[in-house]
Amino acid sequence: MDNYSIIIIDDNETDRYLLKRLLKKVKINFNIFEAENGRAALDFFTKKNDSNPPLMIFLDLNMPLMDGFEFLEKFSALRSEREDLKSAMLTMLTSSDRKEDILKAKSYDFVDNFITKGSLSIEDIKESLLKKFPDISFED
Amino acid sequence: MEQAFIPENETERLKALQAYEVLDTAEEKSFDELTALAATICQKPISLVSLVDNQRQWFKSHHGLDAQETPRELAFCSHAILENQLFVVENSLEDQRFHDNPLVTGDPKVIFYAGVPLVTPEGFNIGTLCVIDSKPGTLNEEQKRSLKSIANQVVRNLEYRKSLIELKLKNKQAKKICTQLESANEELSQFSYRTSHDLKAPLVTIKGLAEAISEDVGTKDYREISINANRIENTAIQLESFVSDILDLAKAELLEPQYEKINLQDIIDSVEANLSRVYIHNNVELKVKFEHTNTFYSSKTRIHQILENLISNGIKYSDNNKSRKFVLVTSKNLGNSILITVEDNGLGIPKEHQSRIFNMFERFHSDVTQGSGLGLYIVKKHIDKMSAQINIIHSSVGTKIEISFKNKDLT
Repeated sequence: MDNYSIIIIDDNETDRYLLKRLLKKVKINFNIFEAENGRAALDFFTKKNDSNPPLMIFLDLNMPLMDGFEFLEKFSALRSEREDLKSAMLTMLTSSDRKEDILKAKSYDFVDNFITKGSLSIEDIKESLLKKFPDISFED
Repeated sequence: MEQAFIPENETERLKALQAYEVLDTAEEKSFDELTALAATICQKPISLVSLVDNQRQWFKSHHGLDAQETPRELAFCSHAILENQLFVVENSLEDQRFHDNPLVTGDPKVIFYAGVPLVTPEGFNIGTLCVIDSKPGTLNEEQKRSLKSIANQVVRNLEYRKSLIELKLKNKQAKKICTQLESANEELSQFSYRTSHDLKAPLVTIKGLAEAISEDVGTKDYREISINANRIENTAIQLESFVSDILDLAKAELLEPQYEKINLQDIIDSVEANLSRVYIHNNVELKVKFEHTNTFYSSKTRIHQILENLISNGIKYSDNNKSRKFVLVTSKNLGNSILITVEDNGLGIPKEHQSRIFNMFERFHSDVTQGSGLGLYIVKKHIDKMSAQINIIHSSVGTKIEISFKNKDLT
């Protein structure tokens, strides 16, 4: 199988770095794309329309220009007309632990998980992947 | 005909009458019922609540009479308010003072008149409750007592009416304050949520970086360790500036109005010294151009914070594609007011975002070092507290912001 594509949507470069570091430990070859805000991510999806759709999306909430919630709304619309985006799992990875934010994000059926920055573990990522691909294997 | 004297306390008396806010208002049942009652008890066809105004007597209630007002100089009530008791004219045709009065010789033929002054709690006779007949007559003791009681009731009605008006006004004020409090509360709750979030986020990042460093010590990846140590430093700097923004904001909110002599050059020098420690590598030139004098009277702390935020935005959001990057501060003394502009040739504020730039926690440039999103919000707070003006002026090269405020000349 081709490399899995992952996109990280976060305006904080250091937080993207920390997530990439963690992803490396999952021992799977990911193609990692990065976007600094919701708008940049939407541009990415509109341009990218190939056989290797993103498998996982990590989304921050508080970003300039287009924040996480605005992105969810726009992405939801885009997803309904794009077959290739249907399989993407979206994980909220944000500093917010506010109930309203969690409920609002989880009201989208494609939002798979809501994780507070700093508490994401390798196990969380593996678990998400296993849910979607039961026969995936992680090299050791 | 004899005209009534003008009472000695006329100015205060008129003021007391006006305070009831009753002149030229619509008919009210609570008064009409009392005049009907007075007419029935006294067995006279006409009864009036007459308020003696500057030039006229105006009827709040007029039972059995079509008129709404008559000239003051003809009014029997003008005489009645000079007394502190019931004023009775049993037959005006035989009375020196009234026999040739047009109200007697013509309609409504005021032949019999009895009026009780309406005395306010402060002791002003603002009008009368009276009964009138077109033929001579008398009142028995019971009727006189009743007329006085009804007059007292008229005054109580007026008092009640007045407190209702005051209450309505207070209610309106209370509602306004309530709305203000609600929006302040909403703002505060938004603020505390975002503040706790923005304080925590960099700490979580620093924690993650520290863990990464610990891991890399194991593998002796010193290059990565050094990069991450640098990231920790930058994140800490960002946190530090966020905390000082919050303190500045508290100052903007709480600062007492204070006016002192300000030398704009001194403020710019101090701002430049503060900022040069932060933006070492931006290579943005700070230029100043003052017209007239550059000293004026205003709040030093506020002006300092406004300029520091505007200038630091100019430096932070500079355009690296431009060879000569600058921030230009100009000032004009317009006599009563001071006009300061801060202009740069940086990235500019996208037009579609300009309406939102003074909002709390708004950030528009994701590719530039993270700001707190509080800078222009702090500026706006100061501007509002100073009753000053701030405008974004169209600029073809970058951003231009203009502020104007009163020059409180203390000399």
